[in-house]
Amino acid sequence: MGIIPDPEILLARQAIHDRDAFAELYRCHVVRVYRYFIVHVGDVSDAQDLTSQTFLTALESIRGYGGKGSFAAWLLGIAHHKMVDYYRRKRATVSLDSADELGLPSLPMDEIVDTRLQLERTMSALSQLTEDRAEAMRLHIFGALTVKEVGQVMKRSPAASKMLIYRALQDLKMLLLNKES
Amino acid sequence: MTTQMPDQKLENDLRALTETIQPDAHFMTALDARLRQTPLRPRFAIPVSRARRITVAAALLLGTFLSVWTVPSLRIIAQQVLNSLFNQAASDTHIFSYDNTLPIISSTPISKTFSEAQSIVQFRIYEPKGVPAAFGQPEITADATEVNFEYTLPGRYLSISEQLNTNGWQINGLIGASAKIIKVDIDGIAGEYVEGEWMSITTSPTPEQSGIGTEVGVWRSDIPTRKLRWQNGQVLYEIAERGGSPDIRDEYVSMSDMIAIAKSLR
Repeated sequence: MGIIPDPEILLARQAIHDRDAFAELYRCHVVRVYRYFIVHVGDVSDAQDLTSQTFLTALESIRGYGGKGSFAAWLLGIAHHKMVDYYRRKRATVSLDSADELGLPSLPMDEIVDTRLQLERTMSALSQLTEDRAEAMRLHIFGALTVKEVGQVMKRSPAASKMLIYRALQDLKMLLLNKES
Repeated sequence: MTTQMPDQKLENDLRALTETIQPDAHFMTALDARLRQTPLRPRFAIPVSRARRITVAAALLLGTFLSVWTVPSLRIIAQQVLNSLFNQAASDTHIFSYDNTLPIISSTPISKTFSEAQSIVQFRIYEPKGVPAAFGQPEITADATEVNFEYTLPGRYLSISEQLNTNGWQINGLIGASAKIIKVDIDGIAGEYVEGEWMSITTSPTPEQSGIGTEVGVWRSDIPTRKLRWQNGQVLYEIAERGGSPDIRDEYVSMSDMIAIAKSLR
């Protein structure tokens, strides 16, 4: 009996010659890619631009996704490279754009303010972690990748990426508690 | 967030925070539309379609062979074409024909080890050396007359092909009129290096539909596809890298890197 491929791998193969299949992949993953970027750069315009670049590159090179590992990890791998390029060109600030641009308009104003403050604190705390721990957290929490997928993107073993995330959580906890106190 | 903060609680808080972030709906719709308008991929990067194209190309080649080979003057020209590594089109716009009614020859090749590939291929093959370590181990696919080593990185794709010269290049070597061919020396063997790719701009019928149709391609030298070709005896070789963006141009497998890899294939 052969191994049944992951439906998303089949979809990715279909996307090589099928616009609807790629559109489906886009719909499934655009939010996680955007979240990964917004927590990195804190700027809506840049996050949108990087999200666009990521999907355009994915479309052009979908043939290169051979089904090794998850599609999400492959896609976030492209996003990770875009982020590296971005930092080469421009050191991003961690200031957030206005809350309404962040996509929180459906919340009451006090919750928007609270959420924005939480995001600012989280981004500020992430910026104080070592780069590999911070990146593992961004991929795991905001990119919604599993520990194993984080390892794929960061070229680490699952055990090593699990340790990175654990350490990052410990660091974040200390930083956030210090800020609160 | 709370003052008492176990790891799981912190992770849950962060995930809840993440859920509040949503991209702008207009942005998502616009990007979806832009992706739908963007050509699916550079031509000849699709394995399934490639099989169909190979069949069409073989049929066209046979027809051309029969009509041309009997005329001595045309035979000389034909020999030159068959021996060339890349063929330059008359312009940077070209109409390609395809036939989606033909059966798919293969869909999901199974990766082989090098020794397994050697036992399948009917000529001596060589394992590429000098491929940047970041690419990792290749997928190896083989049949009687061809072996392919395929390396992937996020957004990038490097392929190395060794094939028996049965009816000329099975991988289409048509390039745009404006493409610049750089002649290179591979330990005494002449090779050719080209940058650029055909991009589909119109297709009729669409590739999703079954049928015979045409596709207009435009040659773009700014697309980061790079190819090195050469021939050694009866074996044709190609190293090609696709994908990436101009921002990481310094990370590409350069022309000199390709020549170094080429030298290992003997």
